[in-house]
Amino acid sequence: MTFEEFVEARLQALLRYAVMLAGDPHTAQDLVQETMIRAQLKWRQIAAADMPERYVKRMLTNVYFDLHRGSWLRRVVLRGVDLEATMEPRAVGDHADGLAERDQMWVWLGRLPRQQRAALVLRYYEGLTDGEIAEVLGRPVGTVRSWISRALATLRAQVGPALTKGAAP
Amino acid sequence: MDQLLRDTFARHENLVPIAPPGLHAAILTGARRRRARRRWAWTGLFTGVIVAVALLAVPVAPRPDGTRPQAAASSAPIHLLLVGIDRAGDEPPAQVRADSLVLVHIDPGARAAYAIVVPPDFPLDLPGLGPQRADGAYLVGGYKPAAEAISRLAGVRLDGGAVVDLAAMESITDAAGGLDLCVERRVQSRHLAYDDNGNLGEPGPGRAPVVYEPGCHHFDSREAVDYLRISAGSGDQRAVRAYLAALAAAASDPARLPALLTAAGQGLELHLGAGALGSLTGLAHALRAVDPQRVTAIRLPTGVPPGDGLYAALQTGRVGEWLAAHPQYKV
Repeated sequence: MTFEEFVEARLQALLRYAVMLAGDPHTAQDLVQETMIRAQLKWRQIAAADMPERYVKRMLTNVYFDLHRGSWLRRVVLRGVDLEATMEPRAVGDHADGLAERDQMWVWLGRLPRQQRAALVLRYYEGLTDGEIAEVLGRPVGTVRSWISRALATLRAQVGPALTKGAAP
Repeated sequence: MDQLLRDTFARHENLVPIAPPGLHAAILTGARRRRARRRWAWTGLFTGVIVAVALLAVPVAPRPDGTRPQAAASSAPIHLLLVGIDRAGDEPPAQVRADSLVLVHIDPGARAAYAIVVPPDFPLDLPGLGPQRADGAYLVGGYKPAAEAISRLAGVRLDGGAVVDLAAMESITDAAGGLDLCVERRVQSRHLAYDDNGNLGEPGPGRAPVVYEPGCHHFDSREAVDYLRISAGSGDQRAVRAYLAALAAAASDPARLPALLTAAGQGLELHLGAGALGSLTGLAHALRAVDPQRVTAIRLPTGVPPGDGLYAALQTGRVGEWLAAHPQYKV
């Protein structure tokens, strides 16, 4: 598969995955752009891999983990202005449609440590097995399971009180 | 909880933007720019290694008759050409592209050296071979035509030159007894792997790629150069500086230095004229006056007028003044 063909076929899927990780379309687009630039530079190696898409997904996940230290973040911040002009209306519009209540969950997800969130996305959005998640994250299965269980515990602690509060009045 | 999470993710699919056409273009432009940056990183690496080795050679290398070399009597500028190639192992020279051409201008009076970096796509008029991209010049004609083309372009006589490849760097590093390097981020090697018996070799099926874990470790020569190659390839200059510092530290050990010098002499493909610059010791001698803090990298001006005054400055030995007036060419 050539790089062009890969972009043609998988760019949208990668954008979806990036949105689930980052939580917002702007960061997602920057994640994908940065990942694909890196992917193009080492394309021969990726094309030779068993599953090129998983390889690229792993790269994207690493770019996401590096969000706070990578130098590319500065470029993202600088570019933020023109992106907002083209993309903000749609995102805000969807948000404002009375979803605020239910999307408290989205907010809680956003507060999780990045590694825990990535593990959740891979399990509950991408539907991967723990072994596959471990492969994408480049960590042992045990570590991945403990991230997931910690993330679930955190979320349960937040959902619990919220549900009771919602039921009381 | 499981279902709640699945629903939450599914609900937010509407946040996913349709890939804008600009994204594809941005990826391609970005990749092109980054490739160019990797070349600069490589260039800096080769320049640093050879300057470091040559400088280190100075204090202890005695002449065959046992006397120590005297400081250069003349203060005329010295010009050297460095060719850096990303060649591993024993590939024949005819198969490789020169990743970088660097014209080094040494100003003994000011104790300064300037490394003038020729861009990879710069057209060079090779004698007898016609115009070529700078990064293909070594591939097409070897060292000599490239040196002549550079010499004619800048209007200066070259006092010597050297070709540096990965094998040369490995043998220098090997002579230093390996190096202690600190890794900041986990990296997996593309060029080295362990087989079942734990021996280092080329990557292949059933072999575990070498992984550089964060922290400070001792690297053998192959690992050190490999790590450096990966870091320089991703534009990470810190690793390059760390490598040079470790090499300098190893060379400050009197027990290791002789081996290091021998390795440098054998590993580098030297093209030195007769006279004072006829050997590595002579080259080191010539570089003796240079203060390591005063080595500056310069981008070769490619616009109009040709050289933007740099060539005249090279000929008259006034590169320092020229650079002060043209700071935009500083790398």
